[in-house]
Amino acid sequence: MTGREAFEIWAQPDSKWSSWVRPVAFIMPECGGECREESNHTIGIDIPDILYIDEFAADTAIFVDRCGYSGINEGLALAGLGWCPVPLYNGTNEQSGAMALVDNHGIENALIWGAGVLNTLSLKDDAPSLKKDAPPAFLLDSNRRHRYKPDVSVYDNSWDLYNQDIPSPEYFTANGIDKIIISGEKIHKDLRVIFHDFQKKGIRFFFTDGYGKPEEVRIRKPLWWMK
Amino acid sequence: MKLISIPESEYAKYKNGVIFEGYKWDPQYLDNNTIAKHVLIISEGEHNELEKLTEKLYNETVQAEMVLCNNLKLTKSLNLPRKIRKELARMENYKKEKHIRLMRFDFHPVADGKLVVREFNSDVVDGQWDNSDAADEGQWNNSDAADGWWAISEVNSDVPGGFAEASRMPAIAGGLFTEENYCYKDFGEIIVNAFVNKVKTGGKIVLVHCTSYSDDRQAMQFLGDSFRAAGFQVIYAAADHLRFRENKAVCILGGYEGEADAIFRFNPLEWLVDIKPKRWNGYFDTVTPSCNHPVAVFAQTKRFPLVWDRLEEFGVDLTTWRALLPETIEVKDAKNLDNFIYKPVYGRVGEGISIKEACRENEYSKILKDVKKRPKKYMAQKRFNSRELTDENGSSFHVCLGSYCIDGNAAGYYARISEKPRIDSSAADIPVLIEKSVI
Repeated sequence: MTGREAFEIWAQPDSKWSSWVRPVAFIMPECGGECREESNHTIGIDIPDILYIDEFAADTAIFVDRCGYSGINEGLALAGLGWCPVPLYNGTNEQSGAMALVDNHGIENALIWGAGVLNTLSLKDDAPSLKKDAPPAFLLDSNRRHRYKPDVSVYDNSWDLYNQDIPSPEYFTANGIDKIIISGEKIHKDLRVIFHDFQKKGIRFFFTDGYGKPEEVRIRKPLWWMK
Repeated sequence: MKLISIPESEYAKYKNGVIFEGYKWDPQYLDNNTIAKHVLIISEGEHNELEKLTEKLYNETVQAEMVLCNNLKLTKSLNLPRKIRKELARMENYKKEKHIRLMRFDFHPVADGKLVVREFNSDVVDGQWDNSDAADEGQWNNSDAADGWWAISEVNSDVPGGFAEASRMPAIAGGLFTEENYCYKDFGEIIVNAFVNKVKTGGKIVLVHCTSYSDDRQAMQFLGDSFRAAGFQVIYAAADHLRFRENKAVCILGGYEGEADAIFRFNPLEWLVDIKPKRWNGYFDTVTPSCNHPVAVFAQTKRFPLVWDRLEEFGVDLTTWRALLPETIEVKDAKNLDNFIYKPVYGRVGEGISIKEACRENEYSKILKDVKKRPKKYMAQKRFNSRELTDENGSSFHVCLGSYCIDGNAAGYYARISEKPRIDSSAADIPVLIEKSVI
């Protein structure tokens, strides 16, 4: 499967949320013949059980902020429960021979593999995640903000999520979403900057480490230098 | 100039083609699709006119840069950042013929307060903004353009973008038409040829950019693939991966160490000050062919018009600039004047411009507050009345038509459209095709 074919599966044309699927991770493995190719790498990953959701909630979006490709596993599990997975991975690759801060190759391979899983889901009689109205589960790599450079010669491909990368709070509320669950180890600074504004517009936030039930949280006002 | 809608049935395929073959990795900005559902068609007459104006603007800008470079005291009123100002003297070894000079002039079709252009193949004359009837004086030698006049909003002098959009996007859009009466000018081909002319065969070109931003990398990837196809070696690197020894650029990116044969810089010069790469000042006096050399900062600042009077005393011809750029003055001088807007001195992509109806939420009041607090960071510019284009369905759009010039030669177009009169990050990229004249 090519990156483009995989992208077209993840970005279902009739979904309300597919416009936000970021193409970068689908393009990188094939671009310019320059980037390291590992597309034949076998992914030994399983789709986990989702312990923090008791029942489907159409008014709730989820941001899965997990390291490496584990966010994709969780996204596929949420697809089975009725959410529409939306990959937001936006990191680029280093040239072959250079050293980078963030390894995106596992994510790129998992997205190709995951496209096959999504295809299988779509063949089932009732595929709730593929319905136009399925609420979104945005997928992120929590390693994206690794900024420690052991040496200046390293290629810095760390990245942040910005408000322009996701729908506006008005779009969420217009589509019946007034709650957001963040599933991850913590709420990273870039998410705090975005979500503080969302909170001011009436969207409620819940946090889970993936095991416990989501608990409502207040997003603290980001410090000026975070913006 | 006209808009043609892409058929609904073709659009999804076209959009994915633009993403995957056209290096458009940021197809969405907030709630806005940034890949237009239209194609912008310009007539051959308009194309010829735009190319001539672009090359004139380029030549005037280069003349101005050389005078400023050799008379640094003139740059005082540009109010450049202190750290940049300190390094300007290093540019005394600047030889324009050694470097690749790339600019993009942003043209807007305007409805009134027009520029008078006699004929598309003649000089710009009477370049004045007046209130008389446009039809009396506008004599384009082309019927398609009979209701059109141009204004420019700025030159993207330092680090213009939109390269793949000016190369691959029209190629992909061209495939939507079965007729053979459309063509386009391939920016990618022209920039590669400019490097072929000034960089040794098979040389190493370092593409300096913010490596954390995929929207920077998409532009660099397009250039990198184009340069590689021409036999160059390409290195994707950050500003701090270049050091300078004896004025020559040396790459220190792990795995790619060694002397560079050319630099393509995509970091705005004033950002380098903030990023603080070690020895960033080496960019100012490097003899390694650069695109763009920091000399580009003179015209990048929106304060550039403030030195025009002095430049003309030095013999610089700024006729085309004066004809096309709306009156631009200091904030303090615009206090009691109507119909002026504020623009950040180093603004990009239309951000921070005080066009009230185009601002988001409380953005307008925030801009005015900032203008009051930091007036030197803004310029006031007379607002032009953008002429909207209407498609077959009656929807209207404002257009910004960026026209590139590389080493004196016009080099294609990067256009954006928006329903709002400000062309900013929410605008959609649109391919530009040239309609050949029927003889």
